[in-house]
Amino acid sequence: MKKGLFCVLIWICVLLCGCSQASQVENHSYVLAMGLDAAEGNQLQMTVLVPKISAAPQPESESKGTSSNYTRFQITAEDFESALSRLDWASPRDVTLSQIKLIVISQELAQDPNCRRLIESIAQTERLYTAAKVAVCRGDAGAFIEKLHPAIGTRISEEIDAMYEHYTGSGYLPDSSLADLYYQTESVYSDPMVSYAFLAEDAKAASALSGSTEEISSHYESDISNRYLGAAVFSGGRMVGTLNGTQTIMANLLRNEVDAVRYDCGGQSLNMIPARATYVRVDPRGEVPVIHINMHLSVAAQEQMPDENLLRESLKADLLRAIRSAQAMKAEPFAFAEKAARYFPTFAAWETYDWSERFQSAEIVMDLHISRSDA
Amino acid sequence: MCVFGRNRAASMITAALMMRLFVGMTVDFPAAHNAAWMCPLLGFIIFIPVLFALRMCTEFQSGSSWEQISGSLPRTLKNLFSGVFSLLFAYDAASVLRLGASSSNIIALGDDTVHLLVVPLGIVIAVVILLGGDALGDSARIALRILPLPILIVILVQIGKYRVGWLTPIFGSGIADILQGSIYCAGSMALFGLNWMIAGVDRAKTSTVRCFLLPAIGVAVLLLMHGMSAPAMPQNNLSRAARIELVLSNGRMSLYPQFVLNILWYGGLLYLMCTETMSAAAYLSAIIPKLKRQWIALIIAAAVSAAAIFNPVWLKISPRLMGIFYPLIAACIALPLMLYSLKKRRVAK
Repeated sequence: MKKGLFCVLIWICVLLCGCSQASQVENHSYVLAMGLDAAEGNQLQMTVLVPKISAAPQPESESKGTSSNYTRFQITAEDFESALSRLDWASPRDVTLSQIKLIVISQELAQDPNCRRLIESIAQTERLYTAAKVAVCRGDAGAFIEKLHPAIGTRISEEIDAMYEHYTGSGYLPDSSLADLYYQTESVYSDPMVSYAFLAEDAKAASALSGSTEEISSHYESDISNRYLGAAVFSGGRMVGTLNGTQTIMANLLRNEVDAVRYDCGGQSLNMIPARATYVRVDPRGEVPVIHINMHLSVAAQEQMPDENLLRESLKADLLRAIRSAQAMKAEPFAFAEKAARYFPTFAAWETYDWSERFQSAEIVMDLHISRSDA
Repeated sequence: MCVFGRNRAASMITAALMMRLFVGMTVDFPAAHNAAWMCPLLGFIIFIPVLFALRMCTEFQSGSSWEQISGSLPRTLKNLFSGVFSLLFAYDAASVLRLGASSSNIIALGDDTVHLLVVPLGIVIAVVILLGGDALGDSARIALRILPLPILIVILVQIGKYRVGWLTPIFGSGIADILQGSIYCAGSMALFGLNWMIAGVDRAKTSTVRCFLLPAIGVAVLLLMHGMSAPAMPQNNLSRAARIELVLSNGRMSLYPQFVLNILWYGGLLYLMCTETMSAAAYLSAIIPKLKRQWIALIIAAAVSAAAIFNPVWLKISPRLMGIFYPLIAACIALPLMLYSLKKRRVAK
């Protein structure tokens, strides 16, 4: 009798938690990529890409370059929350943000003083995948999203994953997600940086003017319109500047977030691998903080190894340029703050010290060890 | 009568207290931020006087300590204390049940009403009380032997993502917040001290210190890992839902280990809730010994589920109340013990 009662009770549990409110895949609009732009009248323009669930893959739409396996929605609203509400109405399915892979914010919007509020709204949206990658786009983020298409693979989601794995592993992009951007914006440590992106047309126009960020990108032709190189640096919740490709590689070396990087020196293309984790010690006890960097690199040349001193000096100069560039932006994206914070007992004491201000005049001491990697 | 042995109670307390402390320091009272790992250890030190009182209770050689102590109290006082203890457990179980329901809603892609999520858990509570505390204790013993392995694997898989620097400044938001967190932890330990008091004597000897010290050390280690996985945001007053989401998926870690942690989270919450309702049932049966177990199961399950569904104001202030649990429970344990020893001395004279 008792056993029977137990069985009945356990079955009731199973049935109550069961499939009464099951949600089928076809009932959802899975947003894969989102572009955010500033629109007229202090409005926000949201462009999202949603995959179609169809039996056979559709040919690419020639007019827009977007694969017609994806539906595009463009919403204009006062803020992020209102845009989501409108999207929920515009989409004939439940809008689901749990599979989002990429969020692109236009540079204009990222530099706006209200960007902090926008980042907070995105990160605190319920069930939005906070490990989604974030990029700041030079031009129109909506146009950038429209140009996304599976260039090599078959799905945009795979394309974005593979692209980020390749670029972050090589140091061309910072390995940071929406969670990193939000947490580091709100935390008391270093400033965040996210990927910098642009369309191929913009790269040509920009390189003609400055020749900085897109120094690699502007020298190749391809069907792929979406380009990613460098980092957009944030401070106080808004974008304050960019690091170009080389500076981003240096920043990633300092943050120990790179597997192997390519580096040009003396007409040679070198493959550099961190031989051991870069050791950074920050001494904030003096009037000016002193940052000691101890880096060990293993270098392999394809043809001839350049002079070691020349390579060391070239690397030191590039590392210093990256740091000076951030100092000029009044931002510190190298994770030095975490090393300095240990000298302070509490957050209050640390905040009183005002690291972001002190970092601007920080003294850099570099110890660079280079070893040849022989087969 | 709902009874369970001290040996089983020790496993129950170790598993449930570990979850209670982790939930407390990450969701209920996260003010200590990156210094939260100190709170369980300091909480244990604050808890030492109550631990001594509990150790005195283990000297009784028959029945539960509470049975022995309350036997010397006037009937009204005995029922009053038992009632307060039962309510304390039911109250905390309701807040845990609510947290479990909220966690499910955050992770699942649904907006189910809390009723739908609470009712099955209410049935689980009833089944657990019917099965008895020994079954719960045995399952805890097995879980404690198996669970460290997946936790270790998760830590090893994520080790490259942890950032030691986020544990500094070492005292986080300050000594005052650490002390408040420590009192919270001591309060949680004192609550489970009541579980120890209602447990009966076992043949095998069990260490009182071990079943409270182990969770304190274990949670301190887990909080160190938690502190290194996301930076402290002292100026950002995160909502409770955001704090739960931060624990379940901080967005910086790969999804696969987080999935394992999510399963452990739900398992832990379920276990915590069952241990607390079991203890509530044991104290209720101490007030009305003749009440059948089926009725006790029904009453406790209904009361806890109703409290979780209607979510009264006092449930929302659960985290703050836990801070005053320590002096309250410490007094509730000390007072009957003092009365008992006074009566014993009078009889001896």
